[in-house]
Formats: sequence, C-alpha cells, structure tokens
Amino acid sequence: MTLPAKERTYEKGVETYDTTGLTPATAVQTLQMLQKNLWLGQSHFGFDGTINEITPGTTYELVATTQSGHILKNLVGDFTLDGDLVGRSIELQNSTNPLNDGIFVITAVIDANTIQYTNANGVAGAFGGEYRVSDGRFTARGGAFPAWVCKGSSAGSTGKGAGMDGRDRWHALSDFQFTSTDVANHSWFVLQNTLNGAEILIDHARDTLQRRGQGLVSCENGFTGGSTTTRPSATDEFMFAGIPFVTNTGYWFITENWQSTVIQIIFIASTDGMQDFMIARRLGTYEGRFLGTGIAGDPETGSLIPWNGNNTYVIFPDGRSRSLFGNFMSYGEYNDSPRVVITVDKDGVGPGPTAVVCFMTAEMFVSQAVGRWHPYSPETFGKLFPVHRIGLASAVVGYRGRHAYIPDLLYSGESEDQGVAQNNTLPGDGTNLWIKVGHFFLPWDGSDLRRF
Amino acid sequence: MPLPTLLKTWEFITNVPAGGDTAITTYQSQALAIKNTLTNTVTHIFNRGNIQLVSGSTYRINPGDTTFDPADIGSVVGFIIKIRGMTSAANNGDYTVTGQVDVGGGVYVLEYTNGAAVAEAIVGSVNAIGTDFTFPLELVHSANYPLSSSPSGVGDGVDRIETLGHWNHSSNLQSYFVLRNTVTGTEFLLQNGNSTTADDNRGVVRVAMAPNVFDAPAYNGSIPTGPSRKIQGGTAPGHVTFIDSFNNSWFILNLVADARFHCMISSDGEQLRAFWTYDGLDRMFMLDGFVRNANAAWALDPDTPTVATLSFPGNATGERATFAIMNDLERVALSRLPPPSPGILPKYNAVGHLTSEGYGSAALGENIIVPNELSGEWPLAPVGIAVNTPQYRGRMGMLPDIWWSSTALSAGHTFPNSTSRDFIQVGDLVLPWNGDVPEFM
Repeated sequence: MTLPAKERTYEKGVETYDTTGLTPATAVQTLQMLQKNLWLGQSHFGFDGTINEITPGTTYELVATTQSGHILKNLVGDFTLDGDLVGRSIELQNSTNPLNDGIFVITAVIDANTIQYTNANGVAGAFGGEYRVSDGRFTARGGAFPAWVCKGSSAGSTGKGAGMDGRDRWHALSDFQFTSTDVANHSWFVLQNTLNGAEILIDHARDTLQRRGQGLVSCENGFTGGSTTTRPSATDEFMFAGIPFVTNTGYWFITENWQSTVIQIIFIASTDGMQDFMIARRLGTYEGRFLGTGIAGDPETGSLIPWNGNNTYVIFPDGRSRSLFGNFMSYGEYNDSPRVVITVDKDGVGPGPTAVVCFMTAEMFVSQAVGRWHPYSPETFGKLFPVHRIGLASAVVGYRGRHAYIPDLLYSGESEDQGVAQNNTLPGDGTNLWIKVGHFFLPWDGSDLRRF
Repeated sequence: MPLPTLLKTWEFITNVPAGGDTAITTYQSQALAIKNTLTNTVTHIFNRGNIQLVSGSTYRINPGDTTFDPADIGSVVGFIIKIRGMTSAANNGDYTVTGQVDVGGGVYVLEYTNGAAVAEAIVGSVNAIGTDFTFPLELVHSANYPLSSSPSGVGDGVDRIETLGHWNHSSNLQSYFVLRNTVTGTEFLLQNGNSTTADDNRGVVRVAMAPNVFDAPAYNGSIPTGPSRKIQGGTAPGHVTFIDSFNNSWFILNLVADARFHCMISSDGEQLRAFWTYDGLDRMFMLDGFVRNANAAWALDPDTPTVATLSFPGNATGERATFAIMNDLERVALSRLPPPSPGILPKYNAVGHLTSEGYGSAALGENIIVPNELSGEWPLAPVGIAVNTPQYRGRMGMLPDIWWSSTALSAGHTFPNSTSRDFIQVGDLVLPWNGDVPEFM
C-alpha cells in the first residue's frame, strides 16, 4: 500500500547506553535518567564548580570542576564533546545564591569545562547546585526546550526533598531511593507535556530486587501532591506498569534483563510537540518497550473532538513481564490487547473523569489484520508491504465504541527480520519518512538509521 | 460514527415487488422485475383484465384486480407500456401512458392511444417502463424459451424476455439475459435453471468482469456450469463463476413470493449496489464498481480497477452480506489484474475479501454491539479490499459510499432510523438510501 503522508514533521533523539558490568539497580537508575533527560531534551548535568563573572553584572562563566553526577552520554566533563553548544539553553538550579538560578542562553564555549552565558542578576561565587544543557535535538519546537518539562520530582530523601515545583531532583544514583532498606521512601518524577496535557509519573519505592518501579499516566487532570514518602496521584491516573510492592511485578519500561547489554533509546517527537514516541530496545534483539503520547484524531474529519476530554492518548507497554518481542510493538500486544489509555469525562461537566483503555485497531479480514497474512511476502502489485492507519476502540462497558485514530503511527507487516525488516526506513528513495519497528511504522526525521 | 458524507450522488429504485399479479408465477415476474429495473425501470407487471376502448383511439389497460396500486409505483404517466402476446396482434406494441385513472373498487387503469387497437381480454402481458433513471446497464444478450428455436443472436441487444412466458425452461432449455454495465464493463448473467432436477425453476446468476465478457450460452443447450468458485480466465466465456450448480442457485429467482428488489447506482455509473429482501432479511447482495484509492501498481490508472461481489444464497438461509460472508470468505472479484509477469495481456481475475477495521480477532462491528457509549453513534467502518490468492496478494483499495456496521443491528435498520433514512443496513453493511421505508418482505 502506498505510504500515507505524515500529518506532522518529526525530530528524533537517539541514545545508547552500555550496562555491562553494572548492578541491576545501577543499570535501571541510569536508564531511567537517560529516558527522563531524553524526554526533556536535556543531556548535560553538573554539580560542582564556580560561576565566574567576566563582565560585571552581565556575563558569567560556569566552570564545572567536578563531574561526579555525570552518567549520561558524552558527559565526561567536556563541554566540547556535545557539539556546538552556543545558542542552546542552560538551566541552573539550587545555586548557592538563588540569583544565579534560571535558564540562560550559552554564548560561548571557552574550553572543555567552561561555558559562557549572560545573567543580568548573576553573582560570582562557588556553584553548588545543578546545571543542565539542552542537547539541541528538538530545536524546532519553539526553542531549545521541548514540550516536555519536569513538573515535579522527589529524590526520596530529606536532602533534596520532594515537590511539584518544576525542579528536577534526579541527578545521581543517590536520588533514587528504592533499595530494600528504603522502606518508606519514594523517588518519583513527573514529566509533563505542556502542549497535549499528558503527564507521566515514574515512581520508585522499596523493592527487594531494586530494579522495579511504577509507571502511571494522566491524560488530562495531572498529578498533584507527593512527598519523599508518597507518590503523587491524579484523579484520572492509570497505572500501566507495576503493582506496588508486589514482588516480581512493576517493571517500568526498562527491565532487569537489561544488564550486560547495550540499550538504545529512541525518542521521536513531532515539532509541534503533539506526538511523541519512545522506544527502548535491547540492541540487536527484538526486545524492548514502546511508549507514546499524543493527540488523537477524529476518525472521519481529522478534527480533535472524539470524546469529552483533551483527546490525549498514551500508548503504554504491558509493563508486567519481560520484554520479549512477542509483546513489543506487535499486533499481538496492541491489536489483541488494550494498550492505550485515554481520559474520558463522560458527561462533559466533571468531576469524575475516567481513564479508559483502548485497543489499537487494524484493517482485518478473516479474524486477523491484513499485515498478519503472509508477513514475509510483499503485495503482488507494487511489491509493497501493507501499512494501515490505527484506530482506537474501547471495550470497557460504559465507554464502548470506536473513538478516534492515532496520527502518524501505522501498522505494517507482521515481520521482524524478513520482508520489511526491523529498522528499515521507507520510502526507499532516501527520504526515510518512516521507520519500521516491530510491526509498526513510526514517523522518522529523514535520517538513515538502518541497522542502527 | 457521525453519518458520513457521500462521495457520489445516487439514484435509487427501492421496494420493487416481483409483480402485482399474485397469480403470476413469482419467479417469472421477479426475473422480469430485475431485468427491467436494471435496464431501465420496471414499475409494474400484470396480465389480467382486458383492453377497453374509452373513446376514439384511447384505450385502457384494466388489470382487473386491486393489487395494481399506484402507491407502490407512483405515477406512470409518460412511461412506456409494452403489450405482448395478445390474441389480436394489432394490440401488441409499445405505447405511451397518457392517463392513470382510479376507476373505483381499488382498481386503477392505464390509458394510452392505439389507433389500431381491438378491445379484448388480456391474454398476453403488459409492463410499464419508466425512463426517469439513468442506470448505465444495457441488455447485450438474451434468449427465451420456448419461443426461440435456435440460439439467440449473440450481442444483438434484443430483449427477448418481454413477457412472463419468455422466462421459462424445459429440461435443458432455458431463458437468460445478460446485462452489461457500460461504465465498468461488468456483465451480469441471469439464467433460468432447467428442470432436470427436483429444484425446478431455480435461477442462476454469474458475473463476468472486464475485460472478460460472456459468450451468450445457448438457450437450448446445457447450462454452462464452469468451474466451481474458481477463477476462470483466458478462454471464453472467461468469467468469474460464483455459481456452479443448481443447488447453489440464486434463491430469490426461485419460487419465492413477496420478495423485494432494491437497487442503487451512482449518477456517474461507477458504483452499483443491489439487494433482494425476503421474510424480513436481506437475502442476496450484489455490488459492482470501481475501486477507490486503488493499489497504484494494480492498474495504470488507479481509479479504474473494478470489483464485483455477490453473496451466494442457495436457499432461504443462504449467505447474506455479513462479516461472516464478505469479510471471512472470498466474495469479491477483481478485474483488470495485470499478471505478475510484464508483457502478458490480462488473463485472470482474482477473488478476495472485503476488509474491515477490527481488533482482538474480530471486526469492529462484531466487537462493538452497542452504540458508541460516548457519542451514541453506531460504528461505521470503511470497506477495503484484500486478496489472499497467491500471485495477487495484497491490499487492493477501498470502496466508496459503503461501510461496515454492527452485527447488533437488524437488516433494514436505517440511519437516521426514523427521519430522513439516508442510509440503510443490509446484512452488516451500510449503503446510501433514499428515505423510503424499506420493505423486507
């Protein structure tokens, strides 16, 4: 079938991380940090150093002298390794002098440890807080910072504390308090999409295996509350990963089996901030997790009024078992099981919005999707593999019906390593508008990432 | 879903009865109703009563019973009445209806002018033909039993099925006619079955899709059985054979009383739908049309590939236009399929499925058996076409102005159900409708 036109333009961010030699807890903590920062479009973190005034009252240099918290890509204390940082944003938090906090534009990279920016209220002095630098991957979305922001966080301890205050407290492994001895503590993070309204809560609490957590979403109402000992909650929350405190449950996105391997995380975001897809996969295998948020379209007109809500959907992984390919971006996982949550305020006047799960529909005949027939053979005419738009349909009593479709996400042939192979991009003319992952085609940014 | 906007404008003929004269063998009048409806428009068929001189050269056709009700058909003034088989040959001919008169007692008569007419009791048959529809179907072959003594003129366009007596059979002799959609090129063969089995008077329907056409089967020869539900191509008659034996013959052409025929066609002639109703249900379904958003490699012009589909009812509980039939079974035929190897002329047609959106191993309309509990609307899913036949596999395109509905709704359900009736449910499919109260007799 002919590839459809994308409804939006997309950018991507790709990170890889080698967990070889790490403990399960360290691997999970590190990967959670990686995901969080990729979501936020941020990559650079530092803790200690000095803010040096260059021109009194305006221009400052941040000299990062210690890199103890650097655990992410390229973060080895060398600002020059992240490409041209000039023009990107830097955010400072928890400075010794609060006047030094804020978001500024980098005007120069002086050397490996020094960048320059302007802060009219800046004060020269030792820097005891955190800074982070946008990685520049989502520049089309209205600036260096993407649609996603940190709504609040908890480091699970009294030091950094907790709050729904926009502060990112996840900088070091010590900010994750979920070891077996941290009986009552919660480390959590709320990601908020300021454009489509979706919120994702990552929560870690006590777990004897030290590698599990909970994942919850709120499509509309948002998370509130939370402390170092309790997670935030939302009236329309839906737990898509984890059963609190139950052994052998609660794998959140990255699971225990990601030790001693190379993990790749791909973040695909529309430039208008309305659609985001994140894939975490074990490189060289068909194991992984898929998570997405966005604004659903009306099935007939494309308008955005399919139900009484903000039209935001969240695609979630099953989160309760090891991530073999059988439940990773497959028809079996998303067409046969409800793996999308929406929030519905049924009477339109509230209160009482409800999280409702939906199936991702596909075009079918004889009880299975077109793409599941002859998955390794292209269509006779045109030698193409089928691609199909995806709808949302709920079987939850009280909310039954076909409600909307998912823009810019397509079902394809049920093949992984034959036919349209995993990671292949389409069309084959070098424009690379779509990429095949599992049984899906996701929008791509034009780059050739085959066999990545 | 919200009721969709039609892509095409449609013309309708709905609730066509088999015939107004209950004494007429039903299968005969039903066949005539179908033929005349598809080729032009039949409004009524009757053969009782007499021809009466009114004054001068004005005559009346008095059907002599109360079943000829204009409410069934509307005004036929200006239509052509065709009189055949009269004792006085001077009474035969085609005349324009000048009056439609209620003579009381529930009897209506038609007036016309024939300067040579002779008053007499009707022994032949009369039907009234309208001209206000633009169906692009033409009759290309016909043969009648018992009047013709030799095979009919192939492709001469002569309509030899003009009276009830022309639709008959004996042993291996049978009447038939072939209609061709001049826009799509699809041909429909309706054939009276022979009487060599106990299943007397059965009808047979076959479809040939362009570029294949029917050779006219000889009325006095054996009925060509053809392969059983296979693709027959290359050699004449080169048609897709849906019906391969009398036992799979079309139910409504048999001895069924009170069946209703409904047909609709887009004003550009590119889409045709027809279905028959009986005993409260749709019984047979027929579709012919061009594919929309066709696989571009299927044909050079993606708008011209053609599909046709039929249900195959063999008895009162036969196939209907349901998910179980149209989605699960190969009930759509596709034409103009170039072969896999280039440079070879089109030779074969293929059969496939009507696809539907769905989840969890079932179609949307099979899963969702209540109106959308947020919007109050029933699901309407687009209808696609997919072929699973080796050498022709793939998703081939869409059909316009047709949707899948829910299995929870009954045949004849209209949308909106009590007001304008813009759409109607036939089996599990939804079609455009003209607002009439649908008769599913």
